[in-house]
Amino acid sequence: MHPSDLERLIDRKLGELPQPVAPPTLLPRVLAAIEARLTQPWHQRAWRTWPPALQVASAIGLLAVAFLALVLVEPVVPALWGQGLHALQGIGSSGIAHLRALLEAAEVLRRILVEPLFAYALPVGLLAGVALTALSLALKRLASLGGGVSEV
Amino acid sequence: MTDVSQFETFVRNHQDRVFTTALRLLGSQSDAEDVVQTVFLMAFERFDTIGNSPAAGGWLSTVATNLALNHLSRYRRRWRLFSEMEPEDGATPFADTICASDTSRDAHAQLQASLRALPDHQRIPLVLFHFEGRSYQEIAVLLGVSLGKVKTDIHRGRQALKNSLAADDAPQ
Repeated sequence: MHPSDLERLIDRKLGELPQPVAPPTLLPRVLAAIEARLTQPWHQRAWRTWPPALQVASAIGLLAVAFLALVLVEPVVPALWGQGLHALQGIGSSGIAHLRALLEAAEVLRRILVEPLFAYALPVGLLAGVALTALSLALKRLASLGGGVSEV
Repeated sequence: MTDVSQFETFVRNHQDRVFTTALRLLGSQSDAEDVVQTVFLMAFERFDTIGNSPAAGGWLSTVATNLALNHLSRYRRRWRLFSEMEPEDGATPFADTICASDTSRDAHAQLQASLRALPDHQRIPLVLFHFEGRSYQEIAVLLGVSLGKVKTDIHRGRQALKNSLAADDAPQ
C-alpha cells in the first residue's frame, strides 16, 4: 500500500474511534484542588495571581535588589581583577604573559563598555521594568473589560 | 477573582477533550488525571484571559500535550522513544473509559488495544499526528528527534495498526 493511502486509511480508522470520557471523579478532584489553591495565602500562589499592587511592588523591589547588588559588587571587581593580574605576573611564563595582555585588553574594554552601563543602562532598565509592568496590568484590565483576548 | 462556578462550567466543557489528549499520550488513566488536574489549575490562574477566548481549547490541548510529554520524561519512560523495547503488559487503560457497549471483540476496542500496544516511540508521534493534528516538523521539535525518525516511526506505527486491522478482519 502506498504511504499516502496508508495514512488516509489509518486517519479514517482512528477518526472513527469513540472519544474517551473523563471519569466522573475528575471534576470534583479539579475543584477540590482549586479550593485548596484559593485558601493559600497570596505569597504561596503564583506571582501572576498576586494583587496588582504587590506585583508592582515586588517587581520594583527585585530590580532594586539587583541594582544594589551590582553597585556593591562593582567596586570589588577591579580589586579582584588586579589581584589576578598580580598573581599572573609572578608566574612569568611567556604563555601567561600573552594571557596577561589579553586580560589587560579585557580590562580596558570593561572600563569603556561595561562601566557606562552601570551608570546609564541600569536606571533605564529599572524605569523600563516599571513601565512594562504598568503596561501589562493596564492590558490585563482592558482584556478583562473587553473579553475575548486569546493567550496561547 | 475568578468565579468558581463559571470555571466549573469551563471544566465541564473541556474536560473530555483534555482528558482524551492526556490519556492517549500517556496510556495510563491515573497519570492522565494528574495531568488534567494540573492543566486546569494553570487554566484557572489565567481564566481572566482564556475563559471567554475561542482559543481556549487550543491552549488547553497544547498545555496538556506539553505536560504529558514532561510527565513521560520525568518518569524516565521517554527513553523508549529511542528504543525498540516491547510494551508493558497489563490491562488496556482505555477499556473503562470508552462506551460501555464496547467489548473485547469490538473493532474499536481492538484498534484501541493495538494503538496502546505500540511502543511509546511509535504511539506518541502517531497520536500527535492523527489526533492532535501536529505536523511531522512540529512533532520532531516537540520530541527532540529528527524529522526522518518521526516519519519512520509514524509509518511503522501505521503499518502495525494496518496489520492488526487485517488480522481482525481475517476469517477465524
